Amino acid sequence: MQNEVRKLREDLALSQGDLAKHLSVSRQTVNAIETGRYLPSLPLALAIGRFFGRAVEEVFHEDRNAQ
Amino acid sequence: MKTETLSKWLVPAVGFAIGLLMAAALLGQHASLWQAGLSFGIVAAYALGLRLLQSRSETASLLSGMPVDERWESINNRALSIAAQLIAVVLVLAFLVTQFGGGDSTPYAWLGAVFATAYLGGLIWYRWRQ
Repeated sequence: MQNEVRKLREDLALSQGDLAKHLSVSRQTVNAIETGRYLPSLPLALAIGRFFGRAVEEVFHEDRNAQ
Repeated sequence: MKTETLSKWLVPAVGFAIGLLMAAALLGQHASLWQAGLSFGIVAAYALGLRLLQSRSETASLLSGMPVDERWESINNRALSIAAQLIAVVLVLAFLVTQFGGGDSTPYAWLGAVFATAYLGGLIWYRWRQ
């Protein structure tokens, strides 16, 4: 899976800590999601999508290079 | 007292209780007061240290039974899984070594039975619920 979390966050000029606070997770968790080391649960993915005003599939999508 | 405050102090309280029981057990075996005090001190310091570090360290928070988010819960579950698999292997090996060595393997058999029952119980419970 790939995601656009870093890009969307940087577009809003937010730090990882700011986003973490909004999502009630740790900064390290935001970093792990952005780097693809951690795949969030569906509720957290929905919360991320809702925060950025995007559909989940706009934020998270399949890694096309891996196929 | 709020539930949050109660859960924050639960681990230190349990740690202190275990420390006291260990000290009492040592004193019951005629160990010196110093040995009993040291035994209590180690367990109590660990429990208190965890409580003090809880707000600064996510690892300490997890070890206190309060994972900060779902990623830490996932880390906890994976670590528990590895530990449980290792314990299962060690139990089987210990049982076999003791059995072939002519020793009493009953404690390992009991522990293995508890482990297997808990695992199968968990399987059935979560199979039913999910």
